[in-house]
Amino acid sequence: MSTILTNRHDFLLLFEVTNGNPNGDPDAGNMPRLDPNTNRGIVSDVCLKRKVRNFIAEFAPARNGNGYGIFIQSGPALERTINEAVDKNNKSAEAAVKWLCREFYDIRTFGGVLSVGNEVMKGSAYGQLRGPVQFTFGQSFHPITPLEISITRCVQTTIKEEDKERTMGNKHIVPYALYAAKGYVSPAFAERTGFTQGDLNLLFEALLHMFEHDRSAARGEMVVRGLYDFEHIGTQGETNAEQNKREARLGCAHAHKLFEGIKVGLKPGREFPQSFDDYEVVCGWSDGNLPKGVKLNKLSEG
Amino acid sequence: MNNNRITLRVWGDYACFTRPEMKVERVSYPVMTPSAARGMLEAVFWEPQICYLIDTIHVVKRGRWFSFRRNEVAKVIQLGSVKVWMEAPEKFKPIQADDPGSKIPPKRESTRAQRNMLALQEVEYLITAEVRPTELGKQQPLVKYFEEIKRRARSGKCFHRPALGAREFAADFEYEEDAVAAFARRRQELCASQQPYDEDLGLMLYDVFALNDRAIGFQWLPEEAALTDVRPAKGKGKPAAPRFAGVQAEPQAVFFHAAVKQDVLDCHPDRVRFARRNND
Repeated sequence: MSTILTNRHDFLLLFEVTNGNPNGDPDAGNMPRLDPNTNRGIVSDVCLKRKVRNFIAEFAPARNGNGYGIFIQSGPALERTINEAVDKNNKSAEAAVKWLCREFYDIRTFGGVLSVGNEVMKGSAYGQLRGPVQFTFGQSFHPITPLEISITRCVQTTIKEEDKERTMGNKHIVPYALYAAKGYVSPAFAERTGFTQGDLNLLFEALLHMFEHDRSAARGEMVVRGLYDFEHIGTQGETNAEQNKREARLGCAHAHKLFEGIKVGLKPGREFPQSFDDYEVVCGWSDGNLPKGVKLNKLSEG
Repeated sequence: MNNNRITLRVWGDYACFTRPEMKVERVSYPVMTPSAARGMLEAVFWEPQICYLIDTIHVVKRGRWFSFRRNEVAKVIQLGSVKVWMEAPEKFKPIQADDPGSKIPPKRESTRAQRNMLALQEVEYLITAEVRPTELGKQQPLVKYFEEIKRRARSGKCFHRPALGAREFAADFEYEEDAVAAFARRRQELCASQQPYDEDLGLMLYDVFALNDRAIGFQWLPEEAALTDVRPAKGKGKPAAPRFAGVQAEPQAVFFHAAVKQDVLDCHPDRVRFARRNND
């Protein structure tokens, strides 16, 4: 069992879609999500969290003190039984919350809302369990042009259509788009839910591989093109470990400045991105110019 | 007037300051609420010895309205059920987020709910707050806390990532010396129109507690912890003192009459009109 996470992390995830629908919009007949003001594509935070959950449910590591159950399940994930019951005498609310955090990876990571059975406290901070990891919406770098593709189906979906030979269907695709989503990990909440360094490593593993185990005709090809993890380690020398620990918890630099160092643009002469080859991703950070106390882990690049 | 004021510039791609009267399908207020502003400052720094009184909120970028529908679950974790599962893990039932209309077996009991959200896009504010000591912090020099806030905001340190109303709308922040100067500077940088923003917003949520309770000092403690002392009793025969001797405050919504005048939402409690159920 590894230790509770002590360092702040800010990470940037770059991913692309080719001829697929990364995240459908229920408001628009499952068209790819689109920001009507800028025509840039959007992938919701919950969509990314779903993929992380599905990955963990499928590739849960062996129990090591903490369990890796998934509380909010979807699809035909394997039913996992929890093998370890706890002390029957301890029935306090606090013990129940601790148990939830210990057994379920998604609660330990993303938090959850508890019903405390008290009308006054309902929905208040009292019943909220805030998780250390938070995702923002993924946004494409350039406007996307969703296409509606009509298909013929030789299998009928309703009994009424049974005598027909073929029916028509449609699906939406984005020919190509590169998206970026930001993530933040706050150690202050990791202490509350018991989120460990091992859990964080597992989260990164899930982010790197989640699309590989989520293939479907609708989603086309989705590939992670970059995962930049800024780890805050503290600006003090080794002699001042205590102060370093405090700094690593709160962070050593503005997250927006760190993210701004990773520049994504089109190569000269390219106007409309059609593949990752049209993009130029330049990481402006090197050991020499990174703000003091910050370490960049390039978990995936290009 | 005192000078214990700090200004934080905050911005983000999205924001949703949910109106309490419409919380099934979330609808944002057009401008950040004082409670959201307080939450952002507390995300950067907070100790029970101080409290923030939001003085003004400068609206640098109003943002655009933005509608968004997502799949959510209509269920929360029932504490009672958790206690059952702790003892009998085989009875555990996860929350199912499958499509309830799905014809693909196995058919499960799903609690998926599609919910809309009317949020704001691309916002930027300048939060000016007064730092006040609470009853717990009266013995300490306030400047100590004041300097710590400055230090943190300048170097990008935060207790947890601040967010604009909802955690998926993470925000960035920067310390500003002077709100008025910063506002003028940002307006110029953005090449925004100089047309001032004036709007009467009607009733707006001020915060979820009565102000007087807050001034005493404020701690979230579970009921059991509030009444028992976890420290070993020192000395002979000295009874264990309760960890917190204050009153137990319950959340209580307080509303005020909000109006943006010349790009500024004034929300200092000394200057705004509160709406209260009983005149206390």
